[in-house]
Amino acid sequence: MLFDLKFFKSLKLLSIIAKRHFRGEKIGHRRSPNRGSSAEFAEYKEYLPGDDLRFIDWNLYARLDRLYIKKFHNEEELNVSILLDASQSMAFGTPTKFDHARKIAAAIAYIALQHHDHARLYTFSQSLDPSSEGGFRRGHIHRLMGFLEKSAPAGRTPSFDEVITRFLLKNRRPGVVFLLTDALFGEDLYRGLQRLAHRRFETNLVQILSPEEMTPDLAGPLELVDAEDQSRVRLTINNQVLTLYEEVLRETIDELKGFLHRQGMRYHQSLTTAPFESTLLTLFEGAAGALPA
Amino acid sequence: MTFLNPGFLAGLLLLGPVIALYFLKTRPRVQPVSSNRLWQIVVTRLNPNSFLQRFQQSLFLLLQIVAIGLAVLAAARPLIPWWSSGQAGRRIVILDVSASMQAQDLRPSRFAQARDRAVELCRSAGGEVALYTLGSTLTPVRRFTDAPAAAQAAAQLTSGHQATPSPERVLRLLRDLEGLSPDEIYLLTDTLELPMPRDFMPQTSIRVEIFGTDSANVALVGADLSLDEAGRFLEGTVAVFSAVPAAFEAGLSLEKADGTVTPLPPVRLPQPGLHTVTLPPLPVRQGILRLSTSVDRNRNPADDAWYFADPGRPPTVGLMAPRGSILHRLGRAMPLISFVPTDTASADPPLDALLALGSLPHDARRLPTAAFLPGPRPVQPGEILPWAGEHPLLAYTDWDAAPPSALRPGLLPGTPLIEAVGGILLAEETTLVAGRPVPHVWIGVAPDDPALQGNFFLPILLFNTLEYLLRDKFPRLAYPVGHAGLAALWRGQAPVIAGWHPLPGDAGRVVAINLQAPSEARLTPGRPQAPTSTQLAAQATRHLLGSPWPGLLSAALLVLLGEWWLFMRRN
Repeated sequence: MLFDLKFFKSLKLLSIIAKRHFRGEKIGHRRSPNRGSSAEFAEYKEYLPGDDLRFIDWNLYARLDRLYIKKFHNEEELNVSILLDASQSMAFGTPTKFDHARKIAAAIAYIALQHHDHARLYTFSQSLDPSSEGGFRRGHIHRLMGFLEKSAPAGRTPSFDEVITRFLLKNRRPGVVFLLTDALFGEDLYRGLQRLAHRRFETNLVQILSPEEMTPDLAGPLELVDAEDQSRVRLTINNQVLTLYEEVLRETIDELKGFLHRQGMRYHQSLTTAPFESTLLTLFEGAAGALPA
Repeated sequence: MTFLNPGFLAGLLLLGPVIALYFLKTRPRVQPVSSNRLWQIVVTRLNPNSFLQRFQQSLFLLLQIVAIGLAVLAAARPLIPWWSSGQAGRRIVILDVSASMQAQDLRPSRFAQARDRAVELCRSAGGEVALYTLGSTLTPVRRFTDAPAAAQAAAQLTSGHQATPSPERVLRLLRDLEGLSPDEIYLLTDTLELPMPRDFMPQTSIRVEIFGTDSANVALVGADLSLDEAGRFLEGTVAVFSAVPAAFEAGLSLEKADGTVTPLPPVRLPQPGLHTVTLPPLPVRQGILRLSTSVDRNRNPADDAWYFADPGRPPTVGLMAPRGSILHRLGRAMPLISFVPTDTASADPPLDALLALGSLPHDARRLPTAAFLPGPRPVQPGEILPWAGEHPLLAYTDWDAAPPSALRPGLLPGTPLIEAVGGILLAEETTLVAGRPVPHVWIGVAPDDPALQGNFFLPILLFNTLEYLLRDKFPRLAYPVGHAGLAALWRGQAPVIAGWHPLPGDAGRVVAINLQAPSEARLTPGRPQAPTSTQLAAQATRHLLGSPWPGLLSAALLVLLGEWWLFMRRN
């Protein structure tokens, strides 16, 4: 059973921590970063390309020689969207990446709902499956858990750009997006993430990886079969090849991190062997102001 | 390259399972992964189609093949000629220079081809080479020397007229070479059949190479010639050998010293074998008897001539005997010998021998001497023929016809003759005077004993005694090659070529030398002979010392070590 008593106890604890972390915030209410005529100044944020130039604080620039924009509060509900990669590649590992991602998705959704935020959960494989869309409110946590319990990874590598396109069609108002995936999409991933950035979604990408993907325990002549498209690669694996693989993985992750940073997005890595709670705590620390309080 | 243990080469069959196992093991195992995206990048960077990648993939297989190959080669004990020949070795090349090698069944002759082979063997030797010739004995031409010098000496060899010794003697002669520790002996000959025991000279590889194809030959192999009493006519017989199976006639002619040729009655040879042909009286004292027939029946022209020459100097024998002694009658029986009474060994003209009744003076020991002393018992009257009578033996002057061992001590043919006249052989001695052997004999016989008058054997005894004393001093009508008398005459290396040769110290007179060896007229080629199994084993053992098998085994082990290291490094 994926969500057992222990899991729920962990959820409660995480909720308390989340609350304590964002102490002073009004429950059920969230200050929107949207600007309004009666907008109340909330904080300064370092300028990133794409930010509204009207909110640049030129006085601060004169003093610090660095660009910052003002963020204002706006009282409105925060939309929390959780995009869960349900492609076949997520079925890899022990425990599977999908199980690990489901726990994280459930935790995020639970915390959001505990604080009266609205949570939407999407799974995607070939494309964003409308049938998997679930919008949940507080009190609907069990429905959410049930939905996740029934979900299973299947299908080929999705066209992530198409997935985001469909998501944006359904979610016109910016919010917070938690993308739980192994991020093995290639250039298609970056196009989709750019769309999210363009539509001002605050995106947190949690890359779910298994230890077998980080440090493959393979050797000898092998025919590697892709879990999704069944493509095959023949290779004789030795220490030299493994070293090269880790180097390629590291480069890929660094490239992803760099892209996300440039887009103002956040990157988190979660190994399936690590407790999901640690992933959540990392999310809390890195997503101040984004995680629902 | 040959192998001492070729059976181990079957180990190469191990390569089959090794190669098969490699391809079975290298069949890739199917491994599901979450995504091939990163692996595809890895593959691109590895560039597996590069030669280095393909080589690395096959490296272990190659190393195993090399290691197995080296180990199998090492076990098979390779014998590499250039490897072994590079090792220092001692080779002896023996070239047969007997008369039969001049046969022309091989062109230009057996000897020419054998000599070319000798040159080739000298040149190809990896170490030292010694060159010998085989005639009546083994004669060194070059002691162990470098290959070019030996080859040059071999190229200058000429054939001879000697007779090949018997196979048993050849084996003894070869064994005499054992002290030189040769690794190889090559005997280049034509008719020799060498019965080599398996363990004969085990440390030396002996090969007999035969030159010759057929045996059709006729030859003049001997002559029994003598001058008549007046010394004007040559009388006697010739011995003709035929190896031709059919009956035929061969021509015979007399070539005089001035070159004129007189045909003689043809020689009829009804069947193969040795035939004695009586000659008509020939009015010459020097000449050549020549045999002629068609080429297909005469393979060796070298043995078709028989030289003879009267050297023209009769021997002078001193007689130390009372005036009425029977010894003084010898002159009438042997007109070609000059007998002079003397009481000293130093007479004029110089004496060739000395006969005496009683003891001889000490200075006579430089001459061949015979002293007749009173015997143990008298001979009965009537037992002696008047030795001045017409007995064929009284005309005996042909020393060649005399039994060579007539008066040798301890030999049965001589002793009965002396006993027949009631005497005994008291003593016999050979002294060296100026390096030449000089015979002396003491016979216990009183020739003037009246009881011996008419004794049939007394003249024979006196003749044989003279022949024994004079044989090595007085030149004969013809000598066979290698005769001891030639050595005595030449006091060194006597000629070995048939023909007339100037008498040493007297160029106006010649000595006739012939082959006189029926065995050399028989041209039946022998059989080549390879080294015995014992010799081959010893040779292989020596080659093993320079065999590369230890290096091959070490290389195989190094390859295996390298493969293990590579495997550990990669994994």
